[in-house]
Amino acid sequence: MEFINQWILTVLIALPLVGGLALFLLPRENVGLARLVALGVSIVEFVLSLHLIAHFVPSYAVFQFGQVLDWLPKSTGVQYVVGVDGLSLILVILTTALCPLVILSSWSSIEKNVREFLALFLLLETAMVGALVAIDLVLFYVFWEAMLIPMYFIIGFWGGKDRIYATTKFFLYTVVGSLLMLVAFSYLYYVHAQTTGTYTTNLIELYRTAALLPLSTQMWMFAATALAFAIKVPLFPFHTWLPDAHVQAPTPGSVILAGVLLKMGTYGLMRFSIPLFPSAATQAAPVMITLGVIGIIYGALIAWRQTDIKKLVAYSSVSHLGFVVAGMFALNEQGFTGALYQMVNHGISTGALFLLIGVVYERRHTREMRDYGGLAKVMPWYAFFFVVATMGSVALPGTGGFIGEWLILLGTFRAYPWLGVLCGTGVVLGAVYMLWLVLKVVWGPLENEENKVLTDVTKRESFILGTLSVLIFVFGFASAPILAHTQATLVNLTKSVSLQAPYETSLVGVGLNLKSTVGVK
Amino acid sequence: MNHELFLAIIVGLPLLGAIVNGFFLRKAPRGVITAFATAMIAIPFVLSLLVVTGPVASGNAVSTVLFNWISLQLAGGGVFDVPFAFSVDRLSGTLLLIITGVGSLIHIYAGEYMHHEEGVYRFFAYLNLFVFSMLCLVLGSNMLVTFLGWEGVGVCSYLLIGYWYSDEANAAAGMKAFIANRVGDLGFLVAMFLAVVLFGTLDYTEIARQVGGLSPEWFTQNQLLVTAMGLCLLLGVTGKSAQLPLYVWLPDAMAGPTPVSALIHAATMVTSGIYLMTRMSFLLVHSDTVMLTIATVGGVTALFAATIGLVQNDIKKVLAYSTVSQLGFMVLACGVGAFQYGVAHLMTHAFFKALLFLGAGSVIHAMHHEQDIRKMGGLIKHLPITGWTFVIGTLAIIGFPGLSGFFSKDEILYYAWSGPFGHPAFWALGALAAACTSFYMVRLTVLTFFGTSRVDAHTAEHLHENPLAMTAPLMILAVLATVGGYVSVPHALGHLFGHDGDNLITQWLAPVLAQAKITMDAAHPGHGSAALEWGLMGTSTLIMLLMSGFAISLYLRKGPEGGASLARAAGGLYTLVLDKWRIDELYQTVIIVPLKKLGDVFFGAGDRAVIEGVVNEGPRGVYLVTTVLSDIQTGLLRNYLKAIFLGLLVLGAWIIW
Repeated sequence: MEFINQWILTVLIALPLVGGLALFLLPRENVGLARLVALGVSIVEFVLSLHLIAHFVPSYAVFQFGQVLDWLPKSTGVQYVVGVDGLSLILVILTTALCPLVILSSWSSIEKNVREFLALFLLLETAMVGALVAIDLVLFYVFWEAMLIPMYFIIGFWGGKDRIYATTKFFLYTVVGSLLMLVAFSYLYYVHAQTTGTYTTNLIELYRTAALLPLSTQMWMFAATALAFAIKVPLFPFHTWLPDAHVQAPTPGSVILAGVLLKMGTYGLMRFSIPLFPSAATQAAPVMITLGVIGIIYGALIAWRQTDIKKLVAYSSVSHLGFVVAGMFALNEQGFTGALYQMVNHGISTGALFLLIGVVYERRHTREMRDYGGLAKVMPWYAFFFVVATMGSVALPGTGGFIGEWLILLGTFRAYPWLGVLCGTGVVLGAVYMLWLVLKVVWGPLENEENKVLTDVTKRESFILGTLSVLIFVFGFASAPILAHTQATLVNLTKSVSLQAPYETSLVGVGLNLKSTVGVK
Repeated sequence: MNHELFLAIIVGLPLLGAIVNGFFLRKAPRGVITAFATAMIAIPFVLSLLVVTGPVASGNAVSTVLFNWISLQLAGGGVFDVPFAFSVDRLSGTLLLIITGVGSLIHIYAGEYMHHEEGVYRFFAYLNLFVFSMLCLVLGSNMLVTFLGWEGVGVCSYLLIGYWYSDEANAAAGMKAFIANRVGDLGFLVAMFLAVVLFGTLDYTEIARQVGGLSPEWFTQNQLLVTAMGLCLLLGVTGKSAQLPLYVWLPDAMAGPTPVSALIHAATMVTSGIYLMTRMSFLLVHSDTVMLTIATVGGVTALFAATIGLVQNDIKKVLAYSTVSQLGFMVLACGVGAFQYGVAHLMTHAFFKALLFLGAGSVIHAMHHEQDIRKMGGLIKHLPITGWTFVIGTLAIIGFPGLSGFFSKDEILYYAWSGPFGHPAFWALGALAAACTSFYMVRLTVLTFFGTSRVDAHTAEHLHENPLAMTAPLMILAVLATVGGYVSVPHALGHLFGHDGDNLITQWLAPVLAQAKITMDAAHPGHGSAALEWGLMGTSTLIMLLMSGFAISLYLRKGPEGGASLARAAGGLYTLVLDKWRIDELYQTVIIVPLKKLGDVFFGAGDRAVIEGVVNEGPRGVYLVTTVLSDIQTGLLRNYLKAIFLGLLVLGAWIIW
């Protein structure tokens, strides 16, 4: 068990990559086999990730399942350090759970170069898991950049008509952010060496020195990292790459983009920007919440006016992630918890919506609202899943979205009452654009001849959508046990920010045996 | 007997019904679907009777915690817990019986009413889900569980209004209901946040306990927040209970099947606001501003909606505006501090308005979906049970002495004048509204059931009374609509019924309202007297008789043409009222269109021109990297690799250094 706990994260990082490479050993023409293998790999990955839940100790705010390996020359202070805490655990599970469903959804949506697509997708999974569990800045940066490559090709090669424009834009935006992040990280590395005499890129060490920097320095560093992550989120006004990327991406690309990749931005803010620079984060909080609130309202109103159903859902993400950013910059327990919970819920319900759009797009090859209407008549199960995903998206009580949004609003309200109320308008506007979408696609008369012959969701599609639908409700009611896993870490974070003191944490080797601390001196 | 278990079953069975009907009985025979759905409401009704007449009547609340819903550690130590818990006291017990009792009757009725519809499993799944949500709303032992029900009934309402979704107008009406409700829900949300800020809990009992122990200084210091919380709750009430300014969804909600209108849009969901205000009465009474605003909203809505009801020609639309108006009476009762009569009227209204809606449904069913009263007349000959029960409903709602509405409405009017927050002006609003009520209800009844028939020949051939499954609920409700009012016999008449002190409803709800009463007695003693009570009772009876007689004289002989000369005399005012004061158009122009334009501006000018402009066309060299990056746009892979190499170079240089 000791051995498994030590290696589990590395296995989770490596497995998809190995699986992806193994696909090239298969005969090129046997598409079905490649699909099965990729699905198998992602399922094994998911099952293995459950080990984390089983052996994670919720009451400790430390990185667990830690492993430290040497990688670059010792003198650089750069190591391979991985571990999960309450913040990353739930996101790792989200990632490993969504990937098999997305691969399953690609069976009908990806028809050319299937093997290459699946390999890239598995590479993406490696990068995502890696970025979530990396506790070393360089390691994180490598995975962060590595996420970009497969996504760039997935949009650029399997995307829609304007895919090149969209993917270039996606790439440029992210790269600009990444460079700023790199500058900030380099400076931290330098400052840490200056003050302590040791070179390290270990985040746990850097937490201790970064928080003590003068406020003006912190502000610059915060700005650089926050900008990088804000672009990824995307936070208003850095969001314009998202609608293009979403619309052009193939269905699996959109799902994983909304489901996990956007969360990397909000995760980054909570993992790096806030705990590294708590004083700056406190100073910047009103600005960040305001940007979040603008995003909520701005994104919602634009979403309402879209006639392209995929663009509508893309803009809804701008609005929803505005909630997440606003919540976390409330800098209190409710805000942090709500933000983290909402990352997962948004992944599930928006993922489901993109899949639903994919289902009809594959049948009708149009994303225009006016080409649909009355689908409930011919596709009753489709209508059911659509309404469930919509209710998740508008955060109806009983769905996970409600718990997340409610905690976010409560947290924001406690910190800044009027901004909290403004956030709340998103609750109304969210219903406006989502119900408008349902009205135009699902309800109404079935007039279009081509729609009259549509077939309802297949068994495969039902399985994917059904799983997500169940999850929407599970997260709506089982929130206490789920949140129990995130509590210790988030309380620790809240304390550190409220005291503006360094974020104290450590890396432990084995979840159950907290004495076997490894790596960090 | 394990009453806690009963409570869980009462809430659980309707949910089970929804799931089984929705997923497993899709292809089942209609009879099975209907019987199953009805049983899932009727069994809880029986259990409710046991619980309410048992422990609840003897003064013990029954509570059960199912699981912990939210549990949050706080950085300062301590835990913020919100359990998923139910509890029933005399207030929720009263609503519990109404919901499951009237609900059962309407399920039976609906089985017949919907018998020719395809896919009734969907209808009954929604209907059961609605009852489940409604039970969560009234039984939730904290504000969050209530909110689950509060929004849940909104969704079910959305689905049921849009049940015949193939007509986009129906689906759009459902959407409108949901969104208008959501505006109100925002008020509820903020009220919850204020509760957390002020009291650190959402549990009703705990909040009440804390409020009871707070000093007057505390209230002076926190007056603003307490008032804000009350007003936020009121916003929630205006959404759910269809008050000004959010009432606009309810008339459109008539697009749903008529049993839905009876259950949701008359008897239960729309009365949630009255429940909530009574539940939170101990807090609301601490702010005069809140109470007076509630009373004003209720009084004005009662009159405003009644005026619209005067001229409508759709049988369901008249009843819809009547419902808005009657809800206004209940809100008025709460606002003047007579919460128990808000609840009493809630109950009598549930009886007579459900009766009237089901009667209207019976007419519509027999008339093959004709809803225009100008094309009816003389129907009592063909539909005697429907007709006479409808007459009873009408007499009840207009407050004919001895029927239920007489007692409950007269108590509201009396307290509107003399209650703790009463004022003659509130009475005047109510009395005028009552005058309109008598007119529009008698007009409706006369035009539908009496006078000469205006039914076209084809429909007339098939006209016949509906089966027992539809008429039995009508007869039961007619009995209830007759006797239901005896719980709130006026004080002045009390000796006739053998109780000299408080009437039944006041006694029954006394424990629930005790805390509010202490607060109100201290600050605002009422100023009523037996003479005033007699005087107001006499006045309203006189008004009722005059207005009813006036309506009969206009419409009995001449039919719809009877009002023509009045309409001509009113001129533009008549058209304005006929167009429902053009409030929908006002909202369209002032809120919806500007927001749409704003969305377009954000998209066109904001995203497309400004942000994209800066990013795409902005001066090169704004960013350090722009020159490198712009090259990338020409080629694909080559330039991408270039960027990667650049990145690696930087990284490498950094590591080596």
